[in-house]
Formats: sequence, C-alpha cells, structure tokens
Amino acid sequence: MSTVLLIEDDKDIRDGLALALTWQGHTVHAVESGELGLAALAANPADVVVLDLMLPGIDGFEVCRRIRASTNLPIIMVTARNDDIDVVGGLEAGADDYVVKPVQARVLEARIRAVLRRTGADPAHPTETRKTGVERHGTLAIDRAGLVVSRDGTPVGLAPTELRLLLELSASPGQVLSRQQLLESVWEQAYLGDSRLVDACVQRLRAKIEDDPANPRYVQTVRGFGYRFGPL
Amino acid sequence: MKWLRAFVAPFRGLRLRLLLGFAGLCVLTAALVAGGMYVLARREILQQSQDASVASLTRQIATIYPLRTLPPTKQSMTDIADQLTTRGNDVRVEYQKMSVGDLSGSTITADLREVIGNGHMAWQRVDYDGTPALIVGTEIMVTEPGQSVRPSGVDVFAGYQLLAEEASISQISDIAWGIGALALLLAMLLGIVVARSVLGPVRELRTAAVRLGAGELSSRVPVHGSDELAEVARTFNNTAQSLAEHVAELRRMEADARRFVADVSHELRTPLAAMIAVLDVLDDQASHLPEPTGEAVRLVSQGTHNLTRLVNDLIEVTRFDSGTAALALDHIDLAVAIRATLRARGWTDAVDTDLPDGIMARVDPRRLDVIVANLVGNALRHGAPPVSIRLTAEPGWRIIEVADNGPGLAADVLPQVFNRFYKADTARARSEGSGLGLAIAWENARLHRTDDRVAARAADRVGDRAGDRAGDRVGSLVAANRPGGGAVFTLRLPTVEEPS
Amino acid sequence: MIKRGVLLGLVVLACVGCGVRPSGVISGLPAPSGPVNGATLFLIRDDQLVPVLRATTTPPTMVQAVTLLAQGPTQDEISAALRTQVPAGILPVSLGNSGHGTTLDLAVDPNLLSTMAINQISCTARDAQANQILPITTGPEFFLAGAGRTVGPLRCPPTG
Repeated sequence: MSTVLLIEDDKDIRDGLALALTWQGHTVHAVESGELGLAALAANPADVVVLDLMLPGIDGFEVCRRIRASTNLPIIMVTARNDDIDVVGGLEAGADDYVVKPVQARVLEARIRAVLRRTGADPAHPTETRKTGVERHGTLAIDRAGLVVSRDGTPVGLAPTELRLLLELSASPGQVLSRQQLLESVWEQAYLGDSRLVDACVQRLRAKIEDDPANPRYVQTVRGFGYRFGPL
Repeated sequence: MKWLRAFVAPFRGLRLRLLLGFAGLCVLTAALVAGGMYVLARREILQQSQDASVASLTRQIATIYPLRTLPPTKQSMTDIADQLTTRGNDVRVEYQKMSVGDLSGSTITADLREVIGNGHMAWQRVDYDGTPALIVGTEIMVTEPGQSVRPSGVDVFAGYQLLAEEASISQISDIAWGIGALALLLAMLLGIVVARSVLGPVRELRTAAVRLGAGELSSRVPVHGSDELAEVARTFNNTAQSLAEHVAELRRMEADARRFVADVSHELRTPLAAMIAVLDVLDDQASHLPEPTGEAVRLVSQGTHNLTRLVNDLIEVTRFDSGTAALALDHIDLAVAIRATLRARGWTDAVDTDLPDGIMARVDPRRLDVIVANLVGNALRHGAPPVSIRLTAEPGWRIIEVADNGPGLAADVLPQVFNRFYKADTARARSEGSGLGLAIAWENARLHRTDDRVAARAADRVGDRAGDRAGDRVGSLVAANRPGGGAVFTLRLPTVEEPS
Repeated sequence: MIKRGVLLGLVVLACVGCGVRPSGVISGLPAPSGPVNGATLFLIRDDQLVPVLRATTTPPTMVQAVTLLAQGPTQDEISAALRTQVPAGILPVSLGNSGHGTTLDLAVDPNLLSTMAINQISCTARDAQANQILPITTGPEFFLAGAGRTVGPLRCPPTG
C-alpha cells in the first residue's frame, strides 16, 4: 500500500484520479496547488508524487525541481500535451516519467507501479534477489543491495529512475543498450515508448556522477545505438 | 536552321513586330522616294542626251546641203557620211540598196525605218553589242526651187553611245540603294530603341507578375511617367496590394479556424480527463451492477472511450495542421518494433508476419506504432484473414506492407481513403474508429522526411504540402487493391542519415 | 505582314529594271530638208518618173536642163536602173515665142514623143523654170512646140 501525493488543479480530474487510485489500493493525498503539495509533502511523507505541470501559482516545473532538490521521491508528471516544451522541461526538472492527459487510471497505475519498483518500495513486487557487495568502477562505488551509489566515498543522491538506470547499465559493463531496451527494462514501458525519457535521465545521471558531464566516462553515448557503461 | 531560330528567338513577338513595322515603313518610303527620283532622273538624263544628239545630227545634216547629185554616188554618200560623223557617233548613209558608213545595219529596226519613211526624224534606244546606244534616223529631203519638198531617197542614220549616261544612271541607282540600306539600318536601330523603351517596362511587369504568381505578394512594379504603361503598372501594383491583403486576411481566418479547432479539442480534454480517470473503475464494476444500470454504465464507458479517442485524434490532426508536430527519432530495429506493436494489442497470432531481423531505421517509434496499429487494426476489422505484414528494405527506403484478403477497396473509395473523417462503409451503424485513423497514419508517414530539418520542428510546413522541395525524400502511405483480392497498404519510410 | 512583304517585293522589282533599256521609236521633228544645187532631170525607173540631180556650176535654165535631159543618163544613172525616153533628136531646143505662155521649141514634132517623154521634158522644164526669169510675154502654162506643131498646155504629173 503506497501513498500517492496527487497535485492537480482541476477538481474533476483530481477527484477522478483520486477515486481511481484509491480503488486501485493506494492511499491518496490530493491537493490543488504546488504550494499545498509541498506543504503536504513536508507534513506527510509519500511514496510517489503525481504532478500536473499546469498549475496556478508555482508552476509544475518549479514544484518538481523543489521536490527533487530535497528528496529522491519518484515523480510522475501529467502533461496536457506530449510535445517538446512540456516533456523535456519536465524531465529536466527531474521527473521520472510522464503521462498525457486524459490518462486512464490503469495507465497511471502501471507507471506508478513501475516507478515504485525502481525504489524497491512497492510491496506488490518485492525486489529481486539482492546482490551483495559493492562494485567499484573508477571513482564510483555501487552498492546494489543497499541501493547506494558513492563517488569518491561521498554518497550521491540519485532519483530512483536514475539509480535504476545506472544499475541497469553497470550490470553489463561495456555492453551497448538501446534506448528502447532501456525503456523496457527501466521504465517498463511498451517497446515503443518515448526515448526522450532515457536521454533526459542520462543527462541528469551524468550531472551527478561524472567528473566532466560533457565528456562522460561512465555513461557513454554510442551514436545510433544507445548507451553503454564504460569502458573506463 | 537551329542557329537561325536561336538568332531570331530574342526577336519574337512585340520586338519583331515593331522592328518589321519600322523597317517596312522605312524601306517602303525610301523605295518610293529613291525609286521615284531615280526614275525621273533617268528619264531626264536620257532625254537630254537624246535631244542633244538629235540636235547635233540635225546641225550636221544642214551642212550637207545643197545636194549636188542624185542619185548619190558612192563617193557623194561617203562624203555625206564623213560630213555627219563626229567624234561621238557612227554614221550610216543609205540610198536604196547602197549603204556607206560605220554604223551596222543591224542596229536599225524595221520600226525605225517605218517611222522615218513618214518624213519624220526618229530615234530609238537599242542594245548595240551589249552596250546601250541611241540610233537617230531621218530621210534627207530636198526643197525644190518650186518650194515643194521631196525625199531625196537618201536615208541617214547615226548611232550614239549611251555609256556615259548609263554610268550616271547606275551611279544614281547605287546611291539610291545605299540610301535605302542606310535608312533601313537606321530604322531598325530606331525600332530597337523604341522596342526597348516599350519592352523594358513590359518585361518589368512580367517579372513582377511571375514573382507574384510564385507567392511573393510583395512584388511591385516601379511606375515611370504617366502613359499607358505607367497606368498598367499602377493597376498591377494596386491589384497586387489588394491580393496581398486578401491573402493575409484568408491566412488569418485559416489560422483562427485552426486555432479554434485546437482550442476546442484542448478544452475537451479537461472534462474528458476526469471521466477517463474513473472509467476503469466503472468497467470493473459494471458487471456487478443490476441491469439496466450495468448496461448503462457500459454504454457510458464505451462512449467515453470513443470520445477520448476522437479528441486525441483531433488534437493530433491539429498539430499536423499547425506544423507543431515533432519527430522524436530513434534508431531502432523495425522488426522488433512491429512485433512489439502487435504484441501490445494482442495481435501476434492473428497476423502473418514476414519481418526479417536487422533492418534498422531512424524513425519516431511512437508514430510508427500508431501507423502500424492503425493499418493492422483496419485490416483485421474491415478486411478478412489472413492479414499479413511484411517488412522489406530498398536502397534509401524501408517498406512495410499490410495486406488482407477481404473485399478490397472499391474504386470510388480508393482515392478518398486517406481523407479525414472518410469512412468507406457508411452502412456501418457505428464505427469503432474516429474516422481519422488513416489520415493520421498518412500524416505520420509524411512527417518522416530527409531534409536537414527532420529532427526539428517543421514549423514552416504550413501550406507546404504541395510544394515539397525537389530532392527531399518523403515518407508515404498508399492504398491499393491486390491482384489476387484484398487490400494492401504500403508504408514507405526514407532512411535518414545519421547525424555526425 | 504578308501584304507589306509583297509591296516591298514589288517596289524592289521595279528598281531592278535599272539601267538604260532599249526603247520604242520616238519621233519628233520633221525630216531635215535643204536646197539642191544642180539640174533636176526627170528620168524613168520602173515606169515612174524619178527626179535626178546633176551637178552644175550654175542653176540651169530651162533650155540647159532639157538639153541635159536629152543627152541621156550617165553611167551611174544607168547602173541605178534609170532610163529615158527622150531622144537626143529633140535638140537643139530653145525658148519659143508662140504667144501661148511658156513654150519650148524642140527640133522635132512633139507629137512624135511618147507620153512619158513629154512628161519627162515638161517636169524637167518646169523645175528649171524657177531658176530663170522669163520674158513677160510668157504665161503660166507650158507648151511644147516643134515642126510647126504645138502640144499643151502640159502639167507635170506627181512623181513617185
């Protein structure tokens, strides 16, 4: 049973989504503005945030950034359109995934479950057998069991999706994984998902773990094929 | 002949007419004037020369009187001949059958003899060994002491060369020709100058009109002076201005209409979003509800699904129209993508596949999914099994064919099948689709094109449909009937070069 | 356009007839005429009277002219097919005085002469008459006399 913080300004949509998510078994806190959402988060911790980008007052991007700045909560953003500005902006602000209005409850449910699996917080799907031990790659230390990544000894705060992406890539070092493969394994989307999710997540990941994000050592781009961990 | 045509080509039309008009008029005038003067001069020259010769001969004849013997002896005839001969003539004296003198008898025509036989002096121009000559002839009369005048029987002929006259005349003729040629040249030059002054503005007008026709609504013509050409130029400018204003107005209206549709569709989303969110709950609960509530719930649910699909499709369409449809390209294996599409909708077993692995392409995966799903869905719904999907590759293209074994497309349906809201089978009471599926598929196919804006917004595609730049390879979706029955839809996507 | 071309062609063609060309016969003044200086005798050719001019130093009198006539044609005249029917026997002749106008006395009876001969004599005499001043007694008519007989008045018929 996970707690969902729903930030949506339209009453009908808010009520509808809250109803559907509750029916699915989540505990839902529904608020109508970014300010209220941030306050609610401070008062009652949630497992996942569903955030509409079009908000009065503080807009959705800013809310996303603030949440991401202080927590590693998974954030799913709800956009009115899936063209560049909204999606890319939202992903850069730190969202893990996005859905497009009008969204069916089961689609949102699937994304919520997927993103919770990445944090290991979804009770419906216990995490896989944990590997023990800490892997060392260059200056990085990856603890798969504890889900902690350190750089030069200092833990790095990664969002769940970023962490999951790094784990996926580093599980097969030197092997090229295509965006579509990553979408399927990390985001659990049907094969034909939006590869921008992958690109945005890689950018954020690089900003956090690379010494020089412009010349990445760990998460390397293989033009025309996808991404690859190393070789160092 | 080609060179002749090439030479003449710039002179076709107005310029040629002007030139010919000027030239013709000039030549005609010159010919008339020069010709007339030439004729008059020639007549005058000849007449003067003839008169002089006749007068000279008459004077000479006067000196042979008084005659001493008749009939004349050969000697006396020779004397007469000598008397009459000057430096410029040849003389012939005849009496009956006798003749004396240098002048050949062949120069004297029967006509001349006849006329002088009537007691007159007569002359005639003849051709004497290729040169022109004047032959003057007369009878020698004697005046009796009784004052009666009687022919002596002696005929006298003198031949004068007209070479000098001919030289003068041909000189005049040469001058006349020369003047004519010069006048012709001047006329042509004048014609060219005039033509240019007329054709210049005409050409300006034509250039402006061509530019206007090509879409440059700001093209105008400079107005010089105040004659008819200036009037035309002014009229053209006014017309172009009016046209530009009308087109701007139409564009505004079109943009407003599009925006309205987009806004409406967008607004519809919000109420729909609330309904859609709870549809799953409704669907799940519908079976537990007593009738007719359950049926009512099912109907509402179905209607909401349809409405949502329609609104989403409408929004897609407005994005195409406004040029804000963006491609999110990724390099993918097409066979894997197609299989994923089929799998996601549970069609894997319903469709025969021929999907060779390893055919890569740079496409927008979401849009490809939309196209394939629509084609296969249509085939399964409106066609008949076996439905097949086949993937092939050509140099520069990737080709996906979806075929069925149904009734195929009727001849009147085929050209309209990609039109928006066109539904072939109007007898269908309720169509599952929105009527926009094929139109969206078609637009999605076309969105894939090989120009350097392929990854960016094609924001300036508004109104560009008919004017694809030459050299662009554009994706296409075409419908046809298979020879063996059934319909086949062929999707062709151009391969896009990897950006370096 | 076509019409203009044809017109041009015609004009050009007219000019082609350039230069000095043979012409028809042009007549003008009457044939020149002048005096003769000699004796006009009338001989015969093809039964026609033909006036012939003999060079003389002075214009001949009637008697001198007829005398020359009676002496017959010269060689040149004979080769020109000229003949005479006036016998030399009429000589000598003299200007008569018969009271009938101008009379020429012959040595023979004029009736013995042929008509053509008489014509020859009368025409010759008439022509020569203009050269001399005749006595007032003579009249305008012309007679031939001889051996007591007289023929006349005589006229000179038109010559061929």
